[in-house]
Amino acid sequence: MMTDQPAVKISDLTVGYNGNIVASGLSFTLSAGSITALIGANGIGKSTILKTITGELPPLKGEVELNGKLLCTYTRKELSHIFSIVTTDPVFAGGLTVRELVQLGRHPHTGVFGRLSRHDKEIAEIAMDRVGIAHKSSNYVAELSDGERQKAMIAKALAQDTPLIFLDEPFSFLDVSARIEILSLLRMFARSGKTILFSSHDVSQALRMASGILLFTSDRKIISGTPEELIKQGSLDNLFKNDKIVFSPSQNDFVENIFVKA
Amino acid sequence: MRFILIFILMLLMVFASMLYGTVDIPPADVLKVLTGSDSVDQVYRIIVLESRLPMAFTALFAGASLSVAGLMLQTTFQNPLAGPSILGVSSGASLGVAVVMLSGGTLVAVPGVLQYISTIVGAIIGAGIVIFFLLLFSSVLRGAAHLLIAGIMIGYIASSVISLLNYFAPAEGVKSYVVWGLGSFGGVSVRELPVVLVSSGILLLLSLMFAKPLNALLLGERYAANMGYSVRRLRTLLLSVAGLLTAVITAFCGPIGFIGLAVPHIARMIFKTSNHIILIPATILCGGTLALMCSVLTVIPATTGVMPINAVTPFAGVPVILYILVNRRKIRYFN
Repeated sequence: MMTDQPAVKISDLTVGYNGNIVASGLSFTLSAGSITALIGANGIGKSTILKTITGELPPLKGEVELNGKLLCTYTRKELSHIFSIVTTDPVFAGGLTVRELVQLGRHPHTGVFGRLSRHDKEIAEIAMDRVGIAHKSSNYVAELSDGERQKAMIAKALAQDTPLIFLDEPFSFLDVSARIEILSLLRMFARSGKTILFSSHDVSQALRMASGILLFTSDRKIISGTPEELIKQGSLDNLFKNDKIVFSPSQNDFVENIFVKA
Repeated sequence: MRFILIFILMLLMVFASMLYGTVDIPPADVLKVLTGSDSVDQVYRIIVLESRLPMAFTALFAGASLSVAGLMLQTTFQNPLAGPSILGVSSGASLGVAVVMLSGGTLVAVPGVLQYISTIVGAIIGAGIVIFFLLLFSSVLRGAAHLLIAGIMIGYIASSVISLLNYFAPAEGVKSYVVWGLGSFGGVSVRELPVVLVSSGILLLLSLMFAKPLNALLLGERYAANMGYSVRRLRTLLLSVAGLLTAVITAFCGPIGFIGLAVPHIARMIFKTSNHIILIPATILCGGTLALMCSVLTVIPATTGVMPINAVTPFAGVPVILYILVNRRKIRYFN
């Protein structure tokens, strides 16, 4: 599945909404089969970047290319075959079974009435299996824990069968064990050729698990690299405006720098 | 199985509505009329075929239409308390009807034959205006309660314009409008019945086509967009169908409360699902059945005539709504 063509290519992108510029001059590429974390402080605009890549917000300037084709040249229908999303938005799917929810991922592949072929059903079963939610397939979504719910949404994304998966803060409501479990799932998907981009404010987790990092700094620039590169360059200290918060490579986490002069 | 049980209940209700009415007709004679036997009083025949039968079919289709409209509104706005009457869609349709009925030919010239067509058009325009404002508000108002309040406010404005129209209208116009406004499934004549059945039948069939996108909307706007839908266009389409369903029924039966709000919940609870592929047919069936039940109840204590339908529907609808509010945490489809 590895090709030379980047799965995602962002050039000189300016993002924002309602006339406010959130960040400008963004450029980076994601290679196919990579798993990348977009990290940054809370509320700095990671979501805005993701939403611009998915076409939910129009770019104010610059270009987004997905699979070698400009985002704006895709139709909606085509895009539903290119990427799937996972968000933490509230869903009103409590009255669906997990199976029905995951089968919703087959929507772009079915006709007017959404009739599922045997192939569609099989894909949904495989997706539930790979995510490890198959044992709950007949349960109602309302009966799931937060972690199981997130897994079900990821299985839905998997069933959609797209080369790219974008996840907006997928770990917000999860405890540590669920986070690690889902991150290793995502790594597995990346190894099988999918390109994964997720946003997170849990930096230490992202550094351990992602193959690439997009660091959204406090002065609204993107620094991209592998976790090791970024740690070596000391780029992580730019994450927060506060000078006293620095990254400690030995602890793989942020600490208060008591040696900073006032 | 559940479909069959409710279908049987519905047939029983159809039969009950043939048996009961303001005039006592022996059940044997009702049966004779329905089977086309000749040896029966001609008056009985006219009452059963030209009054009770149209009323039953009107109730069936009105209940189904309002309930599906309610279901569409609830899913589109992700709001379990949405419904055609609470969001002001019924009031909008009423306003349209009031303009036609109360202006007494001064605002809209109505030749006799086209009376009911102009009533429908009035109702559609009125409902359409309210739908337009709801769409406008729904993009700004995020909270679930806010849109409801906006809908209720729109309803008040419509009502106040209706009062003004009433104030300036000739007495006989006011009388007929007030009677219409009480709500009744009995006002549809045999001649008008095909119009009601065909128009609401087509819209109900159309609603089945929306099962798939409605399921997508359960996951919210972002997921629906990611499945290839233009959410804005989808919403407009869904609300147009819901508005048309409400308008057609309101034009013929008057504004009918609570059925559109309560029945989708009844269907979700009986069929234990939010999946619209099951839920839409279930809502149609439950809506028709409940409306028939209410309709039968309006004639049962019939010593003085038929009670207005809106005197009965709150007793069917309000307990359901209260049950839902109280048990919110226990009910699956809220979580």
